[in-house]
Order: sequence, then C-alpha cells, then structure tokens
Amino acid sequence: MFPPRHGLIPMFWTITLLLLALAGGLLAVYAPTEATMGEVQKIFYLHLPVALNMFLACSVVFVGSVGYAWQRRPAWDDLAQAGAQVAVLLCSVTLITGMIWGRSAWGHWWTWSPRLTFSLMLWLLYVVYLMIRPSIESPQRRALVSAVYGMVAFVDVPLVYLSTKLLPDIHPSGVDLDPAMWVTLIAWSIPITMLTAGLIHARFALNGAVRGAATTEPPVIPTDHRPRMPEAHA
Amino acid sequence: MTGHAAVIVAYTLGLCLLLGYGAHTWLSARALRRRSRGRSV
Repeated sequence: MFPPRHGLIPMFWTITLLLLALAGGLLAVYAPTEATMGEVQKIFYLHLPVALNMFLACSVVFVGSVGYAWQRRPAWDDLAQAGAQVAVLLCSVTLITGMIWGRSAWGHWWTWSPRLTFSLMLWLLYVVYLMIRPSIESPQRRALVSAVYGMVAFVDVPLVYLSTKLLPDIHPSGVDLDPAMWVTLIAWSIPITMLTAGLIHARFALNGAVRGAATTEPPVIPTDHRPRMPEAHA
Repeated sequence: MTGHAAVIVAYTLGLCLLLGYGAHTWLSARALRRRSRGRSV
C-alpha cells in the first residue's frame, strides 16, 4: 500500500527543516529593512515563494486531471487530489500573509483588486474541488468529475498571474530588490519549494493508501445487527 | 499593528499552517500504516 520506507525521505525532510531554519536566521539578521515600507516588507520573503508554489500545486492538479481523463488510472486522481489539498493550504497562507501585509502597507485588510479577487476565487475553486469529492460515491465517477473540474479550475491560475499586468491593481506587479534581498528571497524559496514537493508526495502516498484501504476493508456491520451469543439461562 | 509585530504574526501563522499540515499528513499515514499492519497480522 505504501511505498517502501527508506532513508531518503527522512533525509529530505531534515534538509528542508534545516534550510527553513537557515532562511529564518537570514531573515532575522541579514535581510535589510526596506526604505519605504519598513519592517513589514519582510513578509514578502514568505508570501512570494508560497504564492509561486501555489501555482505549482495547481499545475499538479491540472496534470493529474489530464492524466486521469487520458488513462483512467486511479493514481492520477490521487495526484490531482494531493495537488488540490496542498494548493488550498498554500493559497490560504498566501491570502493570510497578504492580508497582514495589506493591513500595514495599505491600511486595510482586504480590497477587491483584480489580483486579490482572482486569488480568493482560486482558493474557493480548490476548496469546492475538495468538498465535492466525498459527495460522489462511485470512485470512477468521482475521479472523472474531479478531473474535468480540475482542468476547468486551472483557468484561474493565469488570471491570477496576469491580473496585475493587464488590469490596474494596487498589488505590486514586479519586484525591485537589492542583492541582499535577493539572497534572502532565494533562501526562502528553496525550502518552501521542497516543503511543497514533500507535502504533495506525502499526500499522494496517503491518498493511494486510503483508496487501497477502502477497497480491502470488510463491510461494517451495524451494532444492532451483530450475531449474538445465546444467553445462558439459570 | 507595528511592522515588527506584523512580520512575527505572518511568519508564525504561515509556518504553523505549513508545518502543521505536514505533521497531520505524517500522523495520518502512520495511523493508517499501523492499522493495515494490525489487520494483516
């Protein structure tokens, strides 16, 4: 059910956590304070890598959905589901960190700018993806409906990316960083990308195992209908 | 909220969500592995 356990995965997670700790250290002692926005600009080192990895997770949903629609193998559906689970997580972190930044930089938590609106739509689309799955009983039908939905939902990804370039938006459309800021940004991007890859891999394995357990599990007998031992009479 | 507090809150929330979800996935996989091992015995 599970892939064989070997030392590579614990080593991968150890390196990820060490790099994350290193990035935290760089943020605290090395990253310069930006002249206009001040200290709050440092949220950017988490916000941007998480947002970019959110696109990666959405792409995994798209690839898994196309794969299932093409080959009808359940593993593709497991992959798409894993991508959606991680995409919702990353989108939540992007929205939360963005809102905290917006409160300090713009003076309000939320504004209906194109980038923010399309990002909220993206979060809702993948939350709905995860919500509709348990409501479909047949595994084949569930996988097929999810695959079609996963391909359609991906349309929002280029809209989020292009919104600041094509429409007037309060959200910054590019970054102008000095070398020390670039170093900090790269230092955060590496462990966040590794974390995303690790989470998708772990969720993919878990989804496959849950599917396997569901097909081999014996039927549940309601408590009231269990055969009873004959009672001894005195 | 001062800039310093905003940074601390954002990183704490963000990393707690990311690492917490990782821990949740790991614990779920371990529970399932133990249950399937128990069934096969």
